[in-house]
Amino acid sequence: MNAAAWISLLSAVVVAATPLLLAATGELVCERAGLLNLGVEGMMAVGAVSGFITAYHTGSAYLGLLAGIGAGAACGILFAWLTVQWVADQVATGLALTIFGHGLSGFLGHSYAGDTITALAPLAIPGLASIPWLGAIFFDHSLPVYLALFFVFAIYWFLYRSRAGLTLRSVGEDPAVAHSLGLPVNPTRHAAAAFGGAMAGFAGAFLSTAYTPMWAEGMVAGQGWIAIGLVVFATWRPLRLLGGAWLFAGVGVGQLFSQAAGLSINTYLLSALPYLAVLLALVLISRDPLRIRLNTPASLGKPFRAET
Amino acid sequence: MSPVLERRPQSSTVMRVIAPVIAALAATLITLVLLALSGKAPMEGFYALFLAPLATPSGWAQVLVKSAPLALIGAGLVVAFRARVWNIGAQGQYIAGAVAGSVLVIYRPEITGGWVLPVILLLGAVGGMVYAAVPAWLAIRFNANVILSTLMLDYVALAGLHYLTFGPWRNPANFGFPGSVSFPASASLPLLWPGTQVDLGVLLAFFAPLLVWGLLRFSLFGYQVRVSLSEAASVYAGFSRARMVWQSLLLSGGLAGLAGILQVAGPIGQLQTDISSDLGFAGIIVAYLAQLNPLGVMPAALLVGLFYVGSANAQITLGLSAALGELLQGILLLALLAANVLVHYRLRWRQA
Amino acid sequence: MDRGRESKLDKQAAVGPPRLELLGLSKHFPGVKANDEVSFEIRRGEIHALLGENGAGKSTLLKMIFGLLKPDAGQIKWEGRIIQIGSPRHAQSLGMGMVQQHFALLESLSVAENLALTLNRRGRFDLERIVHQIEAAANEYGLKVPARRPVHHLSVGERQRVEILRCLLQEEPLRLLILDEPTSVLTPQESKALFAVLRNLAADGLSILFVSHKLEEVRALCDRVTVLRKGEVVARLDSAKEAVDELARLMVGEAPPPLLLSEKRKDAGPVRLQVEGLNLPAADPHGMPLRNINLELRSGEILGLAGVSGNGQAELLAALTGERRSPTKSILIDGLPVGYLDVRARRRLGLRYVPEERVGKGVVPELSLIDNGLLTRWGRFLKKGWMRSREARESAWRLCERHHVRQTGVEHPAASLSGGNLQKFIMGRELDEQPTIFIAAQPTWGVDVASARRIQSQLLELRARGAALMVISDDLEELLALSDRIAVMSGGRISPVRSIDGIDRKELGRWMGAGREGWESLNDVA
Repeated sequence: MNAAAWISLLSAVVVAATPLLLAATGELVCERAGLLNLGVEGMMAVGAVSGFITAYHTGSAYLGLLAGIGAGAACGILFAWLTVQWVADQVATGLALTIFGHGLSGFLGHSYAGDTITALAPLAIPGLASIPWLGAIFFDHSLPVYLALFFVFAIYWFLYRSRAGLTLRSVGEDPAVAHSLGLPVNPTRHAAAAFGGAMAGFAGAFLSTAYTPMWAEGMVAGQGWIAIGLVVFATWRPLRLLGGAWLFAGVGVGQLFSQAAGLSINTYLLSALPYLAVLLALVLISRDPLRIRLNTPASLGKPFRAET
Repeated sequence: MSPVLERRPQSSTVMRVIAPVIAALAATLITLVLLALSGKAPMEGFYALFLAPLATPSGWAQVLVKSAPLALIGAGLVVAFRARVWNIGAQGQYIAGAVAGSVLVIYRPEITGGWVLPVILLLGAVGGMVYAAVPAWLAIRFNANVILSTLMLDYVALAGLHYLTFGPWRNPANFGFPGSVSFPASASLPLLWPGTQVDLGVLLAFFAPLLVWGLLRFSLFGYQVRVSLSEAASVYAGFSRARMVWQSLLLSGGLAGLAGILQVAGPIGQLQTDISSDLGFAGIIVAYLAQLNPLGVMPAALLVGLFYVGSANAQITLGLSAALGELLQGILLLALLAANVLVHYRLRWRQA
Repeated sequence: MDRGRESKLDKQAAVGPPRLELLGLSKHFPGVKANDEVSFEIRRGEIHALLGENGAGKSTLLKMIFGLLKPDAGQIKWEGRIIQIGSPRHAQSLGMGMVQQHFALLESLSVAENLALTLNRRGRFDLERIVHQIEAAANEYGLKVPARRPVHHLSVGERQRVEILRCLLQEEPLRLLILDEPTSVLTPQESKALFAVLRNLAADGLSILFVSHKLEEVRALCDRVTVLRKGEVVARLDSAKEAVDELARLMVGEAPPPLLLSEKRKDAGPVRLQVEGLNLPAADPHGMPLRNINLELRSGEILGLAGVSGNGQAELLAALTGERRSPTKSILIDGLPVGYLDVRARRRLGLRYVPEERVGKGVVPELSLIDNGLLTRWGRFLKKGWMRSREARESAWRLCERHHVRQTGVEHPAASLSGGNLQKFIMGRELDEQPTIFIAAQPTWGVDVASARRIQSQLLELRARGAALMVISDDLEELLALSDRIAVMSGGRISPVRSIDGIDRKELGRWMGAGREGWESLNDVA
């Protein structure tokens, strides 16, 4: 491969990592608050369909993004309402949300199948975009690509350098103690779930308005699940999301490039590669149970309700 | 006055039964509102979805056929979920069962004899078990998260199925369409209700929840599953968690695999690309809707089966999306989870 | 009566007006009357004891004072004004601080981060400033803590100091400090140091509500005592100088049944359980590694294992019982190496045990008493992979009957049993299997006095029948009453084993606190 091919490959990886990063950043915050939301896939689907429909009717992909964020946040709030307020099982609620989101996106998107919209335009960052190699790889993309990177660092700062982040971590580690200290456990969890939903919706809307600006059912195709895997892979540390997202996106993009290059491996078998990569990464990262236990938010998935 | 939740001293058995009914009613209502909002006539939609399939014997037959794999998968998942083993990969295990069961027909299409069908079904069940053994091994040996590993394997199984049905196993006589050769009569399930697709598989499937009920209620394995509610108590009792993970994954995987081959050797008749139609996920709904009680699996499977047939019907008669069925399932489970709060809590009105 | 009033007036003049007054506070939970019209007052600069046994309703009362629970009836007066305390934060803004029995500390955060959660909420988030504040306050009050260390590296005493510092450093100057069973986790030496700090604080005008069930402490430290029994105030004493027996009678009600005291061990029987050079790394990031454990357990004796919890007792129990495997020859039962054997296999060799966590380990709360009755002896009810359910039901009935477990039916979940009945159920289940080696962890913790006496008598009876027993407990008094020999665990190591005759309490206390420095130079005298 020549330099141009490498640049276009790496640039494609950065773009393909965007939905994973967005969704995983949201899920990481949610899990850090102690909520295991397995509904990312469904929330992305809802974000994708509402983003697409809004963009289709308004002609503005940006409004589409906003609609996707809003719809995702609504799903996140629904999740929080059920699991925090009504103490429903988190695993079941997340799965229900996934199935619901799938169904809703299919139902709403039914009459838009195959329709196209004008994709989100790339915004080259003046100056930076003309750096050789790096400019084309990192600084010549649409807005969400930059935002995804921004959010990773912003969340890092939030978790480790702000009081609200400290509160969120405390709520995720031990909600009973946090409550007894007078910290707002339930509001924090509601906010975290809403943020997680908004980010998943953003990720979905990015898929439908920028990545493949044409409506096709099932376009999320497991990326929500990969995002959840990514959070485990990153052992709940925001900066490590970057490496994982690029790795998983790299496998996916590499598989497409190898097809284009006429590699003689069956396309269908190749399409399993990203999922196998996640599986392999999970196995490698989980091998040391102590490391997982030390990093997992201690109250993850466990219901909490204060006495009154 | 504002409502407050007050914890019941003991969870309510009555509510456990009533909650799914409340949830089904709520889900129906929400669906009607959704139909009205999307500009369809809600009552027509209601008829097409829930009543039309039950208006004719052939409609009943379709519901039975659709519920059968759901009952099998759901019964297995009840065990896994009770054991707190989150097998979300019934979809993949279903496909693995369908593929493994088809091997004999693909490579020896000419075989006949009474032994063929039992062997095919056995292969299917074993296929599902083997595929479920992978996450079990990864969980025990490498501490890998079962939710994520079973899920990733769903997508891998689907890719494998595509590969086979578009590639080496494609029937050349299909004019380029994907799909294997049709199953010969000796490898197909005998029909029980002529003129419909109700076959022996349906009967087998409806036995499964009963068997699982007996297993959970009376066997040592069932006792271990009950104690799994508390990991520390399981350790204290001297039960091995690794064994529980293995057993519950193999059982639920085997039943999902059996469901797969029963579909292929029954109503579908060949290995196709779209054999699964998300039955694995619907099985999760069935397990939860049954309140993780094997005796609840059958009614739950029939209800979700009705959703499948009803939404297919609504697609034809009203031009609604086939995704309506899935949407209904999602709403139903969400409504159930909300209604279940009443199992553990009482609603009290308190002065604001 | 008259004299009582006089002395009360005297006191009032000396220490000032009431700071906190409780007027008829009541709180009901489904099926339980936790507090019934509780009234008392705490004055400025006073150390006020709230005395009551486990389950008397002390914790509920504290939660109402601190805004964690809403009272069903009654009022709270703070510095003369009737107020409603809606949240802990509200209580803090009034100048209250509470150190709960289970510390409200987040293990993975540093000391400074823990305090940052509640300090200077309005100011800029600045950890460095908090570190400085902690260091300054630590010097002022004599409460030394490492500000930058994660809490899970801290000793229990240090954690308590962090909690007290948090109260002292809060925005609104502290006027009432509530301490819930503060000494239950401390060594005698640490308790003494704590008392000195508390006396200094009270002398500066701080009111202290000291909640305890330990009579000696209350007598040594407190100015006045309120005694709580079954949710009601049964006595208000203007001086804590009452006789210990009188306090005990007030706290417990009718005199507790005497402990069935069989004579102490006559001869050492044969060694049943032996531990030789056991080392085991911590299984948990917050756990304690075991280091070079050696001990013997003989037939017909009770070995008491003392120590502040979290010093390796849980890890030792797991290793002895087979919940965690250890090197084969490090543990011997009747001379047989069993380190590699699992829980079931060791149970077959006659080793049975009662865990510290009753709910969630000793029983599964959601399951029926029938199922829970099988938990550690399901093998007996097994026929070719199937459970004999009729026998299981009958056995559950017999178990409850024989051990006086009050229940509403064996089909009901174990969660429906009260604390004392639950422990009787668990103990009974294990004792009915005629163990030859028996280990009990915190056998009477949180159990009402009558049930506790029953359980202690059962342990002595088992010893008389020739079993080898080990009792692990935080409660030194209980161990001194039950044991023939006693050892202390500290920092994952075990002290020399001392015979109960002529035991030196001070030495035990030093060992509990100081760790190996206290005994390293000694030879094993057991």
